[in-house]
Amino acid sequence: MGLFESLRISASGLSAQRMRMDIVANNVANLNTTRGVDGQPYRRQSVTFREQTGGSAFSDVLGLARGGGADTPAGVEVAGVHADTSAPRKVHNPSHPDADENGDIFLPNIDMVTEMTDLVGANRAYQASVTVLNATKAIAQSAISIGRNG
Amino acid sequence: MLMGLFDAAAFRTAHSALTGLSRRQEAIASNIANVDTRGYARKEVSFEDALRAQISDDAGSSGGAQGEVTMETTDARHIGGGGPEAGAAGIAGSGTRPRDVVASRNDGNTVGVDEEMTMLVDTQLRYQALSQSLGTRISTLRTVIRGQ
Repeated sequence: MGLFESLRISASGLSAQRMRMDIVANNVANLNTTRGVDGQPYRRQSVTFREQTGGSAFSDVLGLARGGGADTPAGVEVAGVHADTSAPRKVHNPSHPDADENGDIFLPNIDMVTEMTDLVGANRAYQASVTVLNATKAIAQSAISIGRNG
Repeated sequence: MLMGLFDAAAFRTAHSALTGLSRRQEAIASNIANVDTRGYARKEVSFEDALRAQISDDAGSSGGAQGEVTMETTDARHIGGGGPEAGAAGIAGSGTRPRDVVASRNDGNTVGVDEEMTMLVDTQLRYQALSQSLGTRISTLRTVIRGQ
């Protein structure tokens, strides 16, 4: 269903970018977390996206059956949330409760600049999807009003 | 005279063009949604050639009530269509394809947001213009039917 499919695709973009923002928020909130869920310092998380493969619509199934592959536009989804495996930051702070025998503590491997640029990127991509959504809405409204007046 | 007013070919052409534009809108939505997807190939919908062929088919058979619309098959996977109903289906199925361009980004993604936004405005205006003119045509018909 043409325009409704466009709305769904834009919505998938919105939720994917919102997920990315959630991850950034989590990273920034855990900037100084020395005790993660596993007792180790919190590890920076990042999100990866992948293209959704086809829907259950008849045309999609037919396209796949004909060996055409997923050439129908199908939106985006979160492929996974990954932990950054780079080493934690080592800071000398003997008075800290989590300091080791050398007086060092290990802080999460989070770089504020990276997080902020990621946030801006997610923000802009979200806005772009909103713009497309509004345009689709305007198109749908003009389609609905064909032959309405007069 | 009356048959000229209730011109089925004009409605069919407008319907096909609207279908094609909504497919293009779908592709733009997908491109924007996938703006951060690694390795995503930008999708593009081109239906103008199929539409042009359909219009010339209609014009060629203007003597008859309705023009035959056939789809050209240039690939073994294509389904050859025919008959007056095939027009919209032909447009709906016409090439949504990844565009063969070299990615200018490190992640292999070929989407350019500026290009998509331009395309978005273009599609939106075309769709609105077409649906408006279709509405005008319908209201003309209504005036004729009412006789006022």
